[in-house]
Amino acid sequence: MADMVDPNEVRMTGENSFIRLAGEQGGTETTRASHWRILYSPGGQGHALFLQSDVTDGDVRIYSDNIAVARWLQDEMESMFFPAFTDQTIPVAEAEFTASGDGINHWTETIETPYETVSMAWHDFVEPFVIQSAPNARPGRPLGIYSTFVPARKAQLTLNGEAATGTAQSDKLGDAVSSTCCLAWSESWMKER
Amino acid sequence: MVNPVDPNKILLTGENSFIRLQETEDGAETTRASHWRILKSPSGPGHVLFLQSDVTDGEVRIYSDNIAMTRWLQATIESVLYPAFADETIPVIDSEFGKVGDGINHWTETVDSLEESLQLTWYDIGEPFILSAAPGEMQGNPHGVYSCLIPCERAQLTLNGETAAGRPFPEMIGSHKTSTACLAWSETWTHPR
Repeated sequence: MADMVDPNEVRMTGENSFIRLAGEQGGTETTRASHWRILYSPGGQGHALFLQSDVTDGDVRIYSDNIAVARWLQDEMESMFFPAFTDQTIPVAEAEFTASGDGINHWTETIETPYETVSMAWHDFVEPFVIQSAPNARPGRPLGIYSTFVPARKAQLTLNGEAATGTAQSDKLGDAVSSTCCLAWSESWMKER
Repeated sequence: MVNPVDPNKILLTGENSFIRLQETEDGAETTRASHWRILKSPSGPGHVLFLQSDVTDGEVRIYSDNIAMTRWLQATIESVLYPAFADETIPVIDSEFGKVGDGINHWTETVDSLEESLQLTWYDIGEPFILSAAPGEMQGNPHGVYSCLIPCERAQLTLNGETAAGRPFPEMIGSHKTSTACLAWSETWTHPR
């Protein structure tokens, strides 16, 4: 039974749902949004949204209810995925985060500041699957992951009511049908001890 | 690259934190509480608490905000984990669920019905670890599970202000030391296709 326990150190657990939109399959990404709900991390609990989109005129914006979590995510997590999100000179906008939906038909994450409302909605889901990867299993990925992906064929992101252009594109992960827009729930990241 | 996708079907994803209390290390269990926060299941999201304790005079009580998900959970999961919680003739008490805490020092789940108020509190929180078991790997359990378990040295359960007797005790999963009171976050159950 000993091998049922992963020997690596847990760095965080929570969620990291994302929306990446493009005008066509293989086309330039016009929106990239990385939404985190953190239950456990070295920076504590909280939420963060990293956003670059045509609705931000291509600027990177960062929203959070825990700046310590946001800065830790930039350092340790986003640095593996998308360097534009790791610039710690970008200010963090204090925001409130809420979720709604049934996870079967639709799901919406809402991010609100005194000046902006961002809405991220996923729908038309395909079958969920679990991904797992050990630390250093891939070049540039020192951390390992367990995550439950719920791919969506359709997604929408709005900023103050303005909808980002582009659509979700189909994607493959291993032999699974996936999407550039996924709920990513029950996600944990680990590093070697 | 190794295929990162688990080939099994997903049954549910969410949380399943638990408290099991005893008066002495080898004594009888005096409280067993299984708290679920479900993000995705065939019967939708929701919460449920299964409880058997000295503060219920040994009776099983079931509290939920989604009776459909509760009955599905009883038939599919609790029937494997603890058959006393799988009895579908036990009524489901409609309840509201809340949570408070930082996940580093303490965590409390609250359950409120018209006539009852329960608090489940975990503290003296230890180092998290990932449990990863394929379907059939756990004895007597046909399902697989991924979970981020956070063992706690101390825990308390109260029902209308009355505190359950006993305390948590250390236990082992393989060679890994854990506790009879754990937060279990980022948990996904799987089943062979």
